[in-house]
Amino acid sequence: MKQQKIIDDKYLDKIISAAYGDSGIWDKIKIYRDAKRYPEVKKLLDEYRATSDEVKNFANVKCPDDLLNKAEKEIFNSERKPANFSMVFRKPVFSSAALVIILVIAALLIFKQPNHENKYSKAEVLTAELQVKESLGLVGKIFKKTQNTISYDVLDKQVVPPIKKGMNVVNNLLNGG
Amino acid sequence: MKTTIKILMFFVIAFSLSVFAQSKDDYSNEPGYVDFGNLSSYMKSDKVTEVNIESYLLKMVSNLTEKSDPELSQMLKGLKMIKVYSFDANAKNSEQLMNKIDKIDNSLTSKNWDRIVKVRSQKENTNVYIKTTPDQKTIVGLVVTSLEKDGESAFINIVGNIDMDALGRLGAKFDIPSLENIHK
Repeated sequence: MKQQKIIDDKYLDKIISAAYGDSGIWDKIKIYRDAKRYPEVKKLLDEYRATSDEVKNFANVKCPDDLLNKAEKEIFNSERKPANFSMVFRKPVFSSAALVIILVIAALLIFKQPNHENKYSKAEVLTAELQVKESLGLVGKIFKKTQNTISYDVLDKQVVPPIKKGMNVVNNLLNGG
Repeated sequence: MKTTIKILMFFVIAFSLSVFAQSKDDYSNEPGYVDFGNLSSYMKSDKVTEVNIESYLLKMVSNLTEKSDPELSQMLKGLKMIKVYSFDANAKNSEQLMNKIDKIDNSLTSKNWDRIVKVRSQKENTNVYIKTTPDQKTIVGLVVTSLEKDGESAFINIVGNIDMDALGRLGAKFDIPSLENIHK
């Protein structure tokens, strides 16, 4: 009584490879040997060999011109398309280079930061103090001048006289003068 | 791996940009900042004062005066910049300066600065403007433009949190004789 061969997926792949002539020499010998021993293996091998022969015997069909033109157009367009910026950085060399450049820039920016602590000498700070006082003094002077103008020129000269005049007119009227 | 690199790159770029932004003392974005334009052509007279003190130096002055003048020190803590241009005005440049002051006036009033003082006479033209925060609680900028025909012209911009009371008191206090004496 002949034993039945267990055909799993792996073994089936080997049969297909042998049928299409893609398997290695040892696998091929093994499959052909099994085919002689086990009818189910032979049956599968024959089936796949028949399919393989059919595929091999397919006549070369000429591809339609319009399809070819369309394909050419697609390829041409894709070649002319400007390179996507992000595509550049998908390449490890460029992304690493970019990273290094950015790190260098960041380091330079950090270490080239103006050191305020050492930027100003004591003399400069003292000068700045005088300048601040002078600036505030100038503001104060302008405020004072403006205040004087408002109180003297505007109030005394322009507002008070008409009021005085008006009061005199009222007084005269009231006194019947 | 690629995702890690991308995330890393994003953080490095973001960090670099923030560091770069901090490294540059740019006051032009401050609401109280005003650009007076080029005044160099007027700065050729004998008596010229040009002051441009930025935040860090102001802080150092604030620290220096903490004991000797606590009010000045306190006021300086809130300031970011003091810019002063002062020079002699004469018959030659008075008209140009007048035009400049008018231009600044138009620019500031269109930018919602409040003009708190306007004095305009034959002899002088003085404007004082303040810029407040939207809630009107804090003054963040002060501008003074002043022209005294055949006298002194001044363009002043103070940026930062300004205590007007303290400024008035300190202004009166530092209306120092040296400045008066220069005139005389």
